Amino acid sequence: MPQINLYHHDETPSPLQLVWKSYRARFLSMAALYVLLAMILVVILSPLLAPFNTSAQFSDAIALPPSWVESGNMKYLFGTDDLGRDMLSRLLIGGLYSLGLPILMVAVSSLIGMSIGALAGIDRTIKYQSLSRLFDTLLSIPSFLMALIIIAILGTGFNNVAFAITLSLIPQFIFVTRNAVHEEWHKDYVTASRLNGCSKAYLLYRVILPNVTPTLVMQLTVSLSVAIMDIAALSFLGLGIQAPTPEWGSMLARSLDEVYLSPWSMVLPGVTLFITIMAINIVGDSLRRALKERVNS
Amino acid sequence: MQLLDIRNLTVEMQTPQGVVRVLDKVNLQLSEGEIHSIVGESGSGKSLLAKAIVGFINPNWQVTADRLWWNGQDLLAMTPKQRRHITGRDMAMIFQDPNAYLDPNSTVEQQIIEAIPQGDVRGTFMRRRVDRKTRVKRLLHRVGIRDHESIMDSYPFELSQGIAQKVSIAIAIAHRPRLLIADEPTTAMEPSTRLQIHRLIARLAVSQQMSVVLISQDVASILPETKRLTMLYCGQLMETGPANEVLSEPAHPYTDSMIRMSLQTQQQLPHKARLPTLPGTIPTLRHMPIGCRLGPRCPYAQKTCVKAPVATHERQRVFHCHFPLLDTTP
Amino acid sequence: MTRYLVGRLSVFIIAVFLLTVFSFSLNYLFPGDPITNMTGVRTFQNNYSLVMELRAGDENIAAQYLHYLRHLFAGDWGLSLSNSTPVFADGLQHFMASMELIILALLVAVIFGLPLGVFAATRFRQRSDKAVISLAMMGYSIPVFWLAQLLILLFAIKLGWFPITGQINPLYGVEPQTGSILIDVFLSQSEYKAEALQDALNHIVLPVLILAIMPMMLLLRLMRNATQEMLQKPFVKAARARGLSEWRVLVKHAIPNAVQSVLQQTTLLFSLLLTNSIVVESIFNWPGMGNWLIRSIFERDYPIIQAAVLMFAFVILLFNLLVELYHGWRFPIVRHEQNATD
Repeated sequence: MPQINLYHHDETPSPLQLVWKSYRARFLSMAALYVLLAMILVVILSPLLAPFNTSAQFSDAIALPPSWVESGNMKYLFGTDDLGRDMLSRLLIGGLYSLGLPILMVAVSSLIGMSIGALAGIDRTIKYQSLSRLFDTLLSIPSFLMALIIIAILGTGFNNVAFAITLSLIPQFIFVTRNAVHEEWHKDYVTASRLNGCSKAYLLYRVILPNVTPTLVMQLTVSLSVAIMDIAALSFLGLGIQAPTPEWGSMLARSLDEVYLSPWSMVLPGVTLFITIMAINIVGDSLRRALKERVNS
Repeated sequence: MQLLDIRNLTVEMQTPQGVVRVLDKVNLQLSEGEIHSIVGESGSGKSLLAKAIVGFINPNWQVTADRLWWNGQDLLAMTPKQRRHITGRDMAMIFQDPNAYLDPNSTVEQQIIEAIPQGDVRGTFMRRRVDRKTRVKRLLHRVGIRDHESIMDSYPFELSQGIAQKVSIAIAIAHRPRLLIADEPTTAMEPSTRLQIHRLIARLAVSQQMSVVLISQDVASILPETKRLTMLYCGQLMETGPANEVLSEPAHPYTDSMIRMSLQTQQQLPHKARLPTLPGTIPTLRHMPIGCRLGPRCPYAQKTCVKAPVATHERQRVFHCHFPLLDTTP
Repeated sequence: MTRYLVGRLSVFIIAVFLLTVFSFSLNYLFPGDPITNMTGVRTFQNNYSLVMELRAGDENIAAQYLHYLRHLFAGDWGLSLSNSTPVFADGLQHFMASMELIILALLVAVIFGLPLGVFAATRFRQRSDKAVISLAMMGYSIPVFWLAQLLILLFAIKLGWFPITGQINPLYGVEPQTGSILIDVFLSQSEYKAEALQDALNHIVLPVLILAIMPMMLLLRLMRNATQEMLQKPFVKAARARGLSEWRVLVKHAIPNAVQSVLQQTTLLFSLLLTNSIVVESIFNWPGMGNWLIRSIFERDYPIIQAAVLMFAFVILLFNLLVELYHGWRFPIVRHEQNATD
């Protein structure tokens, strides 16, 4: 028997659903999300997908253009660089360092930063209040500079760079989480819950957290794009991931000398980096927009 | 001739669930110097009516009317620019939350000066400056602010609600409009401030020869000087007529219930008696009843109420009801 | 205003104080001898013991810090470890060179970013708005070093309009005095001043342009969102209801309020500008602070690293202080809100 809907039923979606609904409505937002997810998937699978070893040098195929060019070879889909290394494999494995590593770094730093930020957000002592302004001022120092200082102290190298960028991302998370929690804390619904006698932990997890989640997710995207830019810029300057390891930034750094010979070695890593960062930025921007739409409606 | 003549004004809005009529064939006539009150609960479309008059309706909404005339000119036939010119010259509007309707980053003086028409001040640059300043002072005095020096240099966030409303009135009357639309100007204000603002509006209406459309949520907060009263419910006109007649002898069940709900007019309510309210709640936009929209809540409703009632004219009064409380048989 | 001023200034002073503490502690954090890191005099050199005494090397940390502070304010920032030139004098020149680049880029960003943002906001969700906004999104996402490579490839190599590196052609013999090349050209005694100026301008166009693009796009987006938000505000509706022209509403009411809200987010702008200036200077071999810092990290020249970090952080703090003071002076509501939360 067919179900007949006699009564029109009004659905009232939760705030999170509302954000998702208005996010989903835009084609560009969804496209960016899919691109980002596809990128992440490819990066995870890159060790399986990469056709060659990244440091294998094919002396018979030095500076070979991509396969869609006349003189290209299907064996090397994106061509090879000046040392005869396969571009596709280098791009894929490079993704591990350029996208995978930042995701890991953001995950670690967000965990630390958000916990501290949440605790700071509900701490209401006078001493803290006066310190917060100072903290805000010190936060204006860019994360890239902080990473540079840490590298100057520890020296270059994979571990040090990862540590430096992770550390330099934490303050932003503290700042954003603290402000978001702080702002919610003063709203009437939280006061009402407090008057109902809810514990601080309950307030934080069940009352405030659902309402600051989108803001935090937005900060995640911002930090991710910053982390990718920072690690690529460091590698580009020669302070990050060191040479034989493929990384999009360091691949770009080498390419300027050989741009006449093999323009693709500059274009391909750059485009990949560009698309990745743009996808992340669009996701973050759409999220902000969806959030605003929810507040307005 | 009527200053403002509105016949069958309809505003329709597109929603995912279909077209919703937020204003359904509303009529309004206003003559020079008259104070007209519009009363209705939230969602009755009273603010929308005001916005339709000044022409600030979301461009995606459909506005149709048999007649939307201002001083004999058809407002709907004008270009937006012409319309804005008319609005800026002849009309002024004040709002419920005055602080939000003042620019937070300019001083009171700057904002009043901006409202003074350019043609009013003549002479050299310095002359004009001095002239403007004296005009601002005069305007502030006229709205009952004596302490003009400190108020002129204040920013909106430094003003109390009452003062801010007075300042908005000063801005509104700066170009001597012929019509002042006051959209719930005193809601959420202290009773004494409310009284001040009300008296001010009534006095200005007389001294400036200005018509006033006052919008309010309940019959208790309309001006005593109100000449005509219009009752709106869910975008439909329920009743309109001379204020004293409507209040003393309501023809429409809705008017009747609004009067009885208002505590100020119903002082002899027995101890612990139930407040005589209508059953049910105001329907949401998407679920408007057909016919007379009061139907499901009306104590006198019968089968015929699913058809929209036609207007009944009774001397100066008009009401839309199949079963009026007034004895209409002569 | 006084209260606001005092509050801001005291925060600034405490922040600078913390900065000096930090840069002092860097001497201990860096590998090697702290006194060497401070002064650039190595332990085996003859005057090491003298320096040790001057810096109170054998006393406790607090005394050392005080001596460090005294030298810092006296402009004695030690010697470079690699070529033994005085760090402070060098740093000043690098500082000016960077500032020239950064301030010009900031100007370009503001001059183009803000009006475009307002333009997009007035055409909200129309085709031209979407075009501007997508462009901004792309410009904001493009990695600055890649953009630099592309533009160098296009303008410097393919078209040959602009030179690839440096501040000026050395043939003009312009002696660096202030570090800022345009000022230096004016100060120089060269008889080919006009040509030198043109050459310097030619050199500066590309780096400034590349440095300006990201902040410009950021400003554009911020300004568009802020203006659009302001256009929805009741007071703008009221201004329209008063019959003011759309242009007047925009110029008198929407834009000032939008600028006020954009100014609250300039921290992001400055940090973006400085981060990118480091990269751009390295690419163009521009003798600025960023290039200096990167080179010194490679050379492990600790006195210079310290000086560059100190300068960078100080510039950021100073920029932010100036913006905040302007913000509070121009927009009283900011002071009102700040004082209310203090």
